[in-house]
Amino acid sequence: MSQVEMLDVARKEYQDDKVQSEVLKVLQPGNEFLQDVVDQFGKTRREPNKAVVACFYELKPSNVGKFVGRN
Amino acid sequence: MKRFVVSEASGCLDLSEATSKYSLSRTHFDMNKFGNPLEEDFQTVREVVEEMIRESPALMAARLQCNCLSFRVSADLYTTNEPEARKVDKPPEYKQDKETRKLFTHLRTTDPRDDKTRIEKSKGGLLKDSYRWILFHSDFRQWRHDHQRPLLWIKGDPGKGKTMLLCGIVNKLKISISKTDLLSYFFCQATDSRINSATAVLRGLLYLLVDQQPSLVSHIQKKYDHAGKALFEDANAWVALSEIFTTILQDPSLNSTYLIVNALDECIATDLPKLLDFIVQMLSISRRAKWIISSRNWPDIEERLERAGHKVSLCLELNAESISVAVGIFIRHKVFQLAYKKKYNGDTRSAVLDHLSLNANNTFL
Repeated sequence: MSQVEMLDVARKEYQDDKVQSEVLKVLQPGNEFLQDVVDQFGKTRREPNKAVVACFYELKPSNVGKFVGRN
Repeated sequence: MKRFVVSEASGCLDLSEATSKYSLSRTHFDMNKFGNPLEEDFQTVREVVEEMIRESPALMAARLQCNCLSFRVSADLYTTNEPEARKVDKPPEYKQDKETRKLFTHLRTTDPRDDKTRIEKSKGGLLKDSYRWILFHSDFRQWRHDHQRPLLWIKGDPGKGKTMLLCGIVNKLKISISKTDLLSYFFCQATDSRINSATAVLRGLLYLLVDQQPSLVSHIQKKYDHAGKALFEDANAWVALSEIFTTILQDPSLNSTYLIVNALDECIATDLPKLLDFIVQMLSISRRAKWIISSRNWPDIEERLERAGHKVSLCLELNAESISVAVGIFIRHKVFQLAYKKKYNGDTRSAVLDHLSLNANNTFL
């Protein structure tokens, strides 16, 4: 299941009181707002004396099927 | 299949080396949910945050100083189009052909990973927390983050726990460095003729480097094609290997590299000076490689290392004082762990703490 499919299913399966479908739109590929956020972040990373950023990432898979695409 | 992992590449916005990355063995949903303050993942996060706090005053001061300058520079930056942070260079896939496999077999005198496991086991297994104190030590932190200090020398008399400390450091680095960073190490042992010479050290270090970044094999290949196995073994092996090692450390495609050599004093006496001189020389030709070495506190080792200049090396002595601080931290940690498990109240906890601290006699046992 791709990320796009996951988004679609989430929007279909859940009512507006459960998910913020307007907000989820930002996550569609090519979304201008999202691109801008990433670009701005990229710029801050190239400044002198930039803030220290640490990134933590997950290793274990999550069972997304429990939440979306059950049907 | 509806199981999903947000991988390192998509979970980290800044893929460049400027951002340190840490993996947590957690799912998307419990990334930020910790059961108690002693969980390994929580400790990792805590260490990182503490480090940031420690570094922040210096960073703020630096910003204040070049405020005007940075304004101009960042204005320039805003005119460039795409952020470079998200570009990923995938290394070309290297297929190991028959010749390369042969080279690997000949290069290998020992697999330092196996030596490390064997030594760890022979010393009764690595007590998981007995080395943690080093992570809080200012010298170690400086070594990790200051590119002007690529060498950390850990010295101390026999029995002070250098070897176990270095095993612990290797384990810790393994999980905290980024995926593309290289970590190579070697554990010398005087009693084992396979692993007590200067060439053995270089062969071991090279073996692990090439194993992790196979493209580096090209630096060995040419010489190997002419000489074969003799390249690593004949009278000129040291010269050949040190040349190869030098070109590898100068290779612009070399990823960030951590090199660790334990128990230099166990290297045969005639080899030790040239090995030390070589390491010192490497410090000046490549800042992409960071070194940790350990040995007894011998004046002739110190003298040779000093030639690198005081500014590039950090020296951490394991002596009664530093050990007692370490033991203190360790006991505290253990008692709090115990108190948490057994639900001790404050008084019981301090009683246990006092008792252990008085009787520990500056050893971890």
